Amino acid sequence: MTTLAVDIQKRFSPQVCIQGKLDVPVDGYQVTALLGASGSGKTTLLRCLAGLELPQQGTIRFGSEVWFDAASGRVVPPQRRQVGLVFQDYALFPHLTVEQNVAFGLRRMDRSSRRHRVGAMLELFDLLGLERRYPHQLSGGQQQRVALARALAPNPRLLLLDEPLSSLDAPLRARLRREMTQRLAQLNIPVIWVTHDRQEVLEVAHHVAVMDQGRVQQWGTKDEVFLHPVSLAVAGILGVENVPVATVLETSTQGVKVQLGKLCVELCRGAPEGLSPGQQVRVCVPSGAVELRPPGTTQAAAQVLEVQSRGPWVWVRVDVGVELECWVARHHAAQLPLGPGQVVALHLATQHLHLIPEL
Amino acid sequence: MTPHQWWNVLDWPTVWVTAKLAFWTTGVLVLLGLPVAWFLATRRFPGKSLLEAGIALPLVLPPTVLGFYLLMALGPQSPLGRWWEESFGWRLPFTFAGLVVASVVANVPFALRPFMDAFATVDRRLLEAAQTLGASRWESFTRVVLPLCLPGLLSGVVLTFAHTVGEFGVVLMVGGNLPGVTRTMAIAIYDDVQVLNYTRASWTAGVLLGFAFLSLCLTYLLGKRAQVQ
Repeated sequence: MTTLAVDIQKRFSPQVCIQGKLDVPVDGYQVTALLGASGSGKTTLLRCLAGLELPQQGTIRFGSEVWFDAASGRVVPPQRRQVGLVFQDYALFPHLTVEQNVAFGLRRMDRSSRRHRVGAMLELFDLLGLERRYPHQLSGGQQQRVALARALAPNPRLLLLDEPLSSLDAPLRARLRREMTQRLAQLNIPVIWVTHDRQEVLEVAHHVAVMDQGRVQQWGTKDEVFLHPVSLAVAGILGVENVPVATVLETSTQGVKVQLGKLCVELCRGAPEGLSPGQQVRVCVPSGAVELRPPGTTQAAAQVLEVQSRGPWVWVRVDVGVELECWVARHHAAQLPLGPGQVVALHLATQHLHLIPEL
Repeated sequence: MTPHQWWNVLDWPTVWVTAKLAFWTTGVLVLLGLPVAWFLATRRFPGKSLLEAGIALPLVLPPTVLGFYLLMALGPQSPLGRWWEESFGWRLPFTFAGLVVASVVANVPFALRPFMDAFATVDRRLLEAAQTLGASRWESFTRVVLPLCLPGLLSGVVLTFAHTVGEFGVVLMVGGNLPGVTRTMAIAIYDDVQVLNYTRASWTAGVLLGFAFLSLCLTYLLGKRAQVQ
């Protein structure tokens, strides 16, 4: 398996330092999302990978190739990394037509193969008929497709996307996300996709790296990261709705038993080492792991605190000694006593709970 | 007056010197000015404001002051002038070459300011995009920066040319007033008025006025084209 192995530090000032350590699989179509709030260092990390910024420390290796090594001073310039980059605002060349933009990176091809390649990209990205237009004559969605076609035309080994959909309207964004991933899968290219939108990550990514405070805090497969955040901050970025405090009751080789409000919960997986009874921990309870049932059907009784109708879903906040948020499908909600103050039964899918040994 | 007479009234050697001076000055400033302007527009370094102020100095300095210093610097009193005389066997002041040097210095802001302004409008990300598409620095300059900046660069060229054609003080101080060698049209007008040759003075002045107006029209036109892009 080929990987892009990154371990770098870029210092802007004594206070501001971007650190990134992660391995990105680069065999065929694989989307690795870099998720984080704005200012968390995602774009800087991406620019370091493209070669547009130089870190002060560390290494970047693409397979067996060394792209950057601070110790030996080796730097491969962006021109020779064969990496496609799509900027957040696309950075199309305003003085060139759609066709000339797409052909920009094909300087070294002979004329006929260049024509062929440009034609193929225009077709793939649904740009036929727009060849002679200038960027300012295109809609946002069309510009985005030109930017992708231009970056992909030279057949790069890796595609870097910097918030590729953030400047588009929400409905268009959802559609383009699907179209884009289909096309990228067709080209079988590895992708690093910078975004602050976790919905986007859930839809497009195979792997996720979570950035916060200038650091890659956690990276792994999407499920691994979303189900087992390493810290409270990461859980927040991933949008885990409930991270209540619990008390460790007992630990064994099989797992951990914790007291979560009125509930006694046994967790079989994801029990960190070094926990001792009596210790307080956090438990990640994704809303999807909380199920409300008619009263009396489970041992745990929960009191309804707040109910909000949200389209086809009903959002409910309940109290079981700790407060938990969850979602109930509308047709299911009709069968439950969901008035504030009423009591329902609560079931936790304990296999999806996860401990964070931090408060 | 018929066109034929108009043709005869103009002092052609003087027109030729003026045009030659404008071409040389503009050419030297394009060759030296483009790299310097690119450097100044894209880099930050300590003392940059001082350097920029120095570049703008000829805009506000009386031309006679500038001309005086240039005359001193090029003449045998200064190390530079002495070095030139020892190396080449002749002195720069009151020659056409000396006039070109002085004119280049006096026109630095007219070329560099528009060049720098044009370069400053280029989005850095376009250059980065070009780089990630495999273009070398030189290629991204020629394929992205130059075409995008062309209107701005051309307006710098036109301004420099037009301003050189009309320069008076510096030319008089450094070039003297040698007919066919360093006498330009602007100086010829002054001479003609001194000897009461108002006819020729008015024709020369008219030509310069028309030329200056056309040049400015051209720069505004180029400015508009740059905005459209």
